[in-house]
Amino acid sequence: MLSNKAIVVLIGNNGTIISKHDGDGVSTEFIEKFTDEQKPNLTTFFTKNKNHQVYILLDTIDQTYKKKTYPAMRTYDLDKIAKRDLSSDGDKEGLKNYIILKNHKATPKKSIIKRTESTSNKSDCLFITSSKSENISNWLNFIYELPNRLIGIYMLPVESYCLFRKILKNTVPNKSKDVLKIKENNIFCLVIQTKTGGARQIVFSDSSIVFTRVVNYNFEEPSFAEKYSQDIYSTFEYLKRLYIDLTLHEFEVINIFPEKASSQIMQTKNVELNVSNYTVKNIADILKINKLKIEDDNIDGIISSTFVNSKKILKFTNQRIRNNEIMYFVKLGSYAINFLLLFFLIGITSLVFITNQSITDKIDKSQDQKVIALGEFSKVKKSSLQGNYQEGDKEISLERVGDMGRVEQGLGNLGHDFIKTYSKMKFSNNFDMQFSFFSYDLISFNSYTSKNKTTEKQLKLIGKLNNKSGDIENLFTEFDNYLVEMRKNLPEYDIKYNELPRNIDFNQKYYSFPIEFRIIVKPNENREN
Amino acid sequence: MKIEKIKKKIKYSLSFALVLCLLIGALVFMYFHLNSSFLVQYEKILSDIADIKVKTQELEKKSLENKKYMELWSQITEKRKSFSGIKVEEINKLVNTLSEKYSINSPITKVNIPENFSSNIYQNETLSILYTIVEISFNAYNDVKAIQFANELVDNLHGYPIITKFEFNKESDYSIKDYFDISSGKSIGKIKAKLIFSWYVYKEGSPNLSQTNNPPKNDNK
Repeated sequence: MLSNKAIVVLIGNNGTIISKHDGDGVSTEFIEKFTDEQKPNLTTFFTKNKNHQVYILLDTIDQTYKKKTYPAMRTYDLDKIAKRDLSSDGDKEGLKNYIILKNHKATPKKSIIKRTESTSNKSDCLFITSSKSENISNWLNFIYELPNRLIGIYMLPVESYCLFRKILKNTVPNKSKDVLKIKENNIFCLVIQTKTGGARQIVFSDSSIVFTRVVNYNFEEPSFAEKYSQDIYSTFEYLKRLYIDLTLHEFEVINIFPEKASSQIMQTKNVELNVSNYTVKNIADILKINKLKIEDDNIDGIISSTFVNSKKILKFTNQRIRNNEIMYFVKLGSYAINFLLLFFLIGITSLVFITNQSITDKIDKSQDQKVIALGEFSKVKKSSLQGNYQEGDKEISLERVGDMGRVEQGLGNLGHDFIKTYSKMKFSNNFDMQFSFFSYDLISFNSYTSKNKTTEKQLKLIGKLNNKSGDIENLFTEFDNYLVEMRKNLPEYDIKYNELPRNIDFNQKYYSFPIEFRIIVKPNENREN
Repeated sequence: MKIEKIKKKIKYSLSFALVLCLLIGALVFMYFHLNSSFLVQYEKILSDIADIKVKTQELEKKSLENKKYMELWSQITEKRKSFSGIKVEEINKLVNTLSEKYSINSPITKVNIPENFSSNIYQNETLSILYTIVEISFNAYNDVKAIQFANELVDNLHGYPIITKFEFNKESDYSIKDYFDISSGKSIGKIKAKLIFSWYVYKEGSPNLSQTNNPPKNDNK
């Protein structure tokens, strides 16, 4: 339960209680009057516990609770108006704040109490002010200088609502979570006795505080019970002004007094009053507060302990605290930025390292490859033919050999061989034919290039085939025989010729016929260029 | 808490943040700088490797070529390897000698002015190539003599004489009178021939810029 590290400075008119809350438990110290002599010890205490957040809880007499009703409006607008009203208050030094009260939804059947002003078309706001006494100022000035973080100033009656709810929740037999819903129309009066502020009545509705008043009781006095009853009645009468239909039965009183005081109250046999009596010990047991040492009949310790572990209701602050908070969050922000930057730094350092490593590996590998390539190169260089070519006694540079070799490759095969071809055609003497034209050409020869792969050597013969008989059959036979002979003697050549026309007049005599042959030397496919 | 203390802490914290930012900045710079410089180095090595590989391949290719050309060298005749250049009087002399030998009449020889053949075509490094076109027209008594004349003429030339065109035609058949005229030296023969060849010969000296002209065109397409 006591897990929050906090120090609560409970300031009242009768003195101040400083309670330290952490995992080890709760330790308290009462200071009757705050003097300069106590400051060194206190400074040491706070500095020792500088990680504990500091809450100031005020249990002073001069607290005023003033309810104001506004027309129904949006919460945002109500908030703005309440703030404006608060700032228009003349007291600039005092501690001021407000609570927007929940609208009471009056349903006729269930509702027993009807608030005079709380209707669905109105908004209520409770303004709470407390004067800043010299004692409070001294404490504040002292705490400002401490290394601890001051969270804010809170009012004990307001923050007691949490204690009240817990008590109510733990004392109703069925322990329903919605216990307060059952009693939503009731008004409760919590009567407590604190060491710092004395006895106090705190009136709560189902949702928040209604008002508080300090009542001074001396439990030793014989007239205590009577005085107590009078106070309850006068409170009830005051409440009747706010809640017209409020009955004494619906006005529940919870006393947290010493056992003796409780028995005195019970002896008055005032049956009208709906009173429940608890001792501080009872409450500690009910709320299972076992780390707190209960030394007397005052509830200060339990209140501050409940306060630390509960959701805070209303914070009072000033410019100094606000500035401190802003700076605190700026500091946290800067720490967060530092953390992020540190994280980023680690990340980028790792990235640099990894990248460096991988690039170094890459470079090393490529260097190895380079060494291998160089080795290969020198190996090839050693085995390559370089220098001069020895031809008998003569030394010829390989460049010269290459130069002439390339020319030989390009031009060496383009030499003429028509005399060989022509001599192979001696068989023509066996045929009755006369050639009148002979030509030899290099076809597709390009002198601009060394690559003349498609160049063809062509022999062209034009003449006439004689046919003494004039018979066309003989003419065809002679031509075909000549062609057969040509193909037989020139197998390595392509032979092209003009066919004898097949549509000639067969009745006519043909004693000679023009012929044309083209003998093409096939390109040497093995020729390298 | 004292606001001054918080401010001090914030100041320290922000200073630390600034230091961290500087460190991060330095690291980021280092990262990119190292990356780029390493990359440059890496790329240089890779390009070196590529260069070496190309050179190795070139060397291998050259070596193979050298081997091939060394084998080819023995097949190239001395005539082809000759550096005698192009001399018109030598051609004329040869034409005259062969004309007598093969009874060739009226030979007319035209030789173009020799030019340096572009070294780009055969990538010649140690020698230059001279180039010209020769055109010879003549009359012969018969086809065999015309062919033999052309053949022997070209065979007797050094370098690479490449016949691009050789043609002849017989205008008409010989009559008995023609034979008498031939025997008395009055006839010049009825075979009219024309020989055109491109002639490539070597010239000492490595090719220079002025020798990179394109050769005169002598193409058959």
